[in-house]
Amino acid sequence: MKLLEGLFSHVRLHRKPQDMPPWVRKRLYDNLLHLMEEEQEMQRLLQLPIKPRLCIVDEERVVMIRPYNRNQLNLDEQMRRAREEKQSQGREK
Amino acid sequence: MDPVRLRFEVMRELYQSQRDRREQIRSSVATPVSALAFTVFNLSTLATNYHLEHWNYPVNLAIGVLFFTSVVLLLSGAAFIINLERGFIYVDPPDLKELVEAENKLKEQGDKSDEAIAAQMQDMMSGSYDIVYRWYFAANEQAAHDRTRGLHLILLSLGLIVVTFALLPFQK
Repeated sequence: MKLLEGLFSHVRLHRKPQDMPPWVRKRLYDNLLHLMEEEQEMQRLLQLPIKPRLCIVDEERVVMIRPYNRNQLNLDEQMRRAREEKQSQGREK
Repeated sequence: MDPVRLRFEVMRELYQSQRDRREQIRSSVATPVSALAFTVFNLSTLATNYHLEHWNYPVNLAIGVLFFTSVVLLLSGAAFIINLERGFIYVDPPDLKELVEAENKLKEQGDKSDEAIAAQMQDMMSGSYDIVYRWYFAANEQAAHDRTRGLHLILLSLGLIVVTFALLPFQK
């Protein structure tokens, strides 16, 4: 029954990443961290007083992380782990 | 045209072109999918005409091997086509709420004229378009590559079926 619910479910607007299973969140957060690096680089390049902040969308799962949602993600344990992983990868390089 | 405007126009054009390309790649998946359906139909015809009871006769054995290889190639091609859209994370320029917030932050930062704020926001958008353009470009290249590889595998599978059909009259 759960499978059928999943097949026929539809959403208004979009879902929050916190409602997603861990592997979807992992994919989203890894991409988000990469995006945040790109935004910082862009701020440096154009000498912008504020950082451009973009939206990130997983079309398959109808999930969207809007810039103002980012602060809420800091409370997510998975986001903390993704950050740590990224930092350790950076140190290895 | 001032440099800020020029940067903005160029990056917006590039961003739009990659977005359109994404849609083109998506719609072009129809070709390998049709080839896949045709190959499946041919495989079923072949399976009904194959004499499995004499499998150890050389021609029958060759047909069996070619049939099996064809199925493997077909499934590999299908996997490439399915993976084409799976797991792609889209990035979009800042939404309206973010633009309003950015405008307010710029206003708070000092005594700037509306023109200066507009120029900084335009640069912010140019930067956003550049990020999205590069993001989409890499994904589009990968998707186009996967689609072509998938199509080649399916066509190769179809080619093997043609050879198998040529061998069919010689089977025991």
